[in-house]
Amino acid sequence: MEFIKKTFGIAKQYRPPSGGKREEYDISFQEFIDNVKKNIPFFNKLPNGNKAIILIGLIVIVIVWAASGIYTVGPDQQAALRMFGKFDSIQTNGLHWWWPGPIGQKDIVVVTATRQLELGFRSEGEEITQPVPYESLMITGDENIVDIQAVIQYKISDLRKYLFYVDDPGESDRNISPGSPDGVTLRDITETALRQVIGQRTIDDVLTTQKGQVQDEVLLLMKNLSGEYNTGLELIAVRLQNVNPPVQVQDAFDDVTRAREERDRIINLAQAYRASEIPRAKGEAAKITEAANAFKQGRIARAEGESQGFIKLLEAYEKSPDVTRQRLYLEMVERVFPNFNKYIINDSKILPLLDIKPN
Amino acid sequence: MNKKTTPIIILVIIIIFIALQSVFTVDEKEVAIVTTFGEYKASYITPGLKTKVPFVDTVTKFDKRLQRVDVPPETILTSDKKRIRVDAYARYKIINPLLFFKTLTNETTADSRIGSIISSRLREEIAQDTQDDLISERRDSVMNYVTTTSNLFEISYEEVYELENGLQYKDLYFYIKSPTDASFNPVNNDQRTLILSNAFDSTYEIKYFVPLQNIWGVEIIDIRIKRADFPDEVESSIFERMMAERFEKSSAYRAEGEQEDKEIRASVNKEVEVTLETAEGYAAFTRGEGEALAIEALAIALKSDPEFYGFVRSLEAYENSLSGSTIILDPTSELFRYLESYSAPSK
Repeated sequence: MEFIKKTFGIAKQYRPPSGGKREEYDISFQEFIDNVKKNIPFFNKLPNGNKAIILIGLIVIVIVWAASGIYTVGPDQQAALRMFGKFDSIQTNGLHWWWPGPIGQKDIVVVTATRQLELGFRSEGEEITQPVPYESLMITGDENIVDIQAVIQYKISDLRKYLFYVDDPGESDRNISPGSPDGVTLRDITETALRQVIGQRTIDDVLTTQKGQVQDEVLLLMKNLSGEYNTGLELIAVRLQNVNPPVQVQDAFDDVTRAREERDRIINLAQAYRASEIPRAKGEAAKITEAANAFKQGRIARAEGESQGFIKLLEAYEKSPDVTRQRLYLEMVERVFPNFNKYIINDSKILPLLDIKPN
Repeated sequence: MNKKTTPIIILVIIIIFIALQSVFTVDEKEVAIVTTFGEYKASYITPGLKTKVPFVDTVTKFDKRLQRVDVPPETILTSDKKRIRVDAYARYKIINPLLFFKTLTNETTADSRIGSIISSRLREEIAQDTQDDLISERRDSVMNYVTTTSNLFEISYEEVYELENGLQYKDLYFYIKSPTDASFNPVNNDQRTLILSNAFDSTYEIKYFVPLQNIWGVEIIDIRIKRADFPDEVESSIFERMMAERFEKSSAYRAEGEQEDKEIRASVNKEVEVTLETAEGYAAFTRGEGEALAIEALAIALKSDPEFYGFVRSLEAYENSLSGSTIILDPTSELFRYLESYSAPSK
């Protein structure tokens, strides 16, 4: 290290805004040659012609080697830098230089992207291509079996932990390289958490109302486990895609749904019956009561009219009772008799002998 | 090249070679120990560039990241005599590379030996739990207990005296079991003092443990049951039970539907009948009342001259009811008084 520092010289040390301390090696070509002359004792002893060749050769090698340390970090990436295997710092986007191998190592990883892990199935694009019952079938608290397919969304939140803290065999079918904790480790965490949460609930709760709660609890448990293992992963969401009874008993479950719908339908029909019958009865009742009311009112009105009329008639009648009586009688006869079949017989004794039919 | 420079170049190459032999790097993910002809010399926990004696020292590196051990699925009988297939995993970490190197040598051996420790601890523990414990929320505490006990390494009474300070060894743990207890339990402080002074009740069995990291240089961070499933052979009976449960549910729904249907219709019919009968009753009452009021109204008028009312009402009745009838009249009747004679009747 001392040799390198003397040869290249430390131009300045500064503290970048991102924190930490950085050293930059920045000297001119002439200074570099002078340094080489000063620091490599036998250099001046070489014959002149060879000196130049070796010097140029060395310079070219050094320049090419140094240039290979230039790298860029995309806006969605971070670079973890190590020197002699020891972690140095995290670099974010831009053009940078870091010691090339064998002195320095760098890992450039996309960190902002949300990644996902599928549990209980594998997909290509939007299509579920392959169910994985080994992962998706699990026991509920009431000792039933339920089939759950879930998607876990996560991203890398701590690149140092992600790269250096957890050993993992990786998962080749998801392009997770060995050593990345989002391989088998994340799958272990997911299965442990999901199965534990499902094991605390009945199958009916899981299938119907508690999907949201299950998601929240699984996420929380996963966050705890992930933190405990120092995976450097941030778990964003747990989504239960398909929650079903196992295919072997699907029909029985469907039949329950059908039975429930049937029950609801029958109840709806009964309620419709109520909705139509009751107003009809009320209408009928109104008709009956109104008719009675009409009768009553009519009856009273008529009786009152009649009595008023009779009183008027009586007043007039009392002025000349006999004549009025006779007139009233004759007027009635006048009105009634035209409609009669009339037989006038002056011997009442034969009357019983006549065969007179009423018509 | 002349003969003067050649040896210099060779010398430089040799120097570079020796220099490379005398340094090594320890990566962020690694720990290393250095041995000289098989004899331990130093261990390096922190990463970076390290030096060694060239050609003599050997560097052995181990992974210091969190390691995963898979405990292969096993079917275990729980305390309530149910068979359950347990698939577990553990995470451990190398804490002391020297001990690790001495006792386990490499990661493969470590995996299998740690795996078998966990597997036996798990069996012991599960045999004392019910199936419910393993499926439900109590699984967490079960696992914490297994993690704790797996981090302890049982040694014999004789081995205790091979430890530094023997019984007084600072990391020695005691678990005791009275003749009546079912399992071993950790001691409290009083019991510990008694054991240390060799004065503990001799009817108790005592087990001696030292932390696993003092023996193997590893710490088990976490043991988890990933899955606790029914064994394949009972799966079909589980499905049968599930179907029976569902059948119970669907029958209940259907019966419920029928019940509600009948209840609703009965109550509707009742309501309809009551409504109509009430209306009829009201109607009868109202008609009667109307009649009564009418009679009352007429009665007032009639009282003033009932005979005349009878006369007028009779005339009206004749008029309304007799049309179209056949009538046989006696010419001597009052009506025909003037039909046969025009003279005024004699008084």
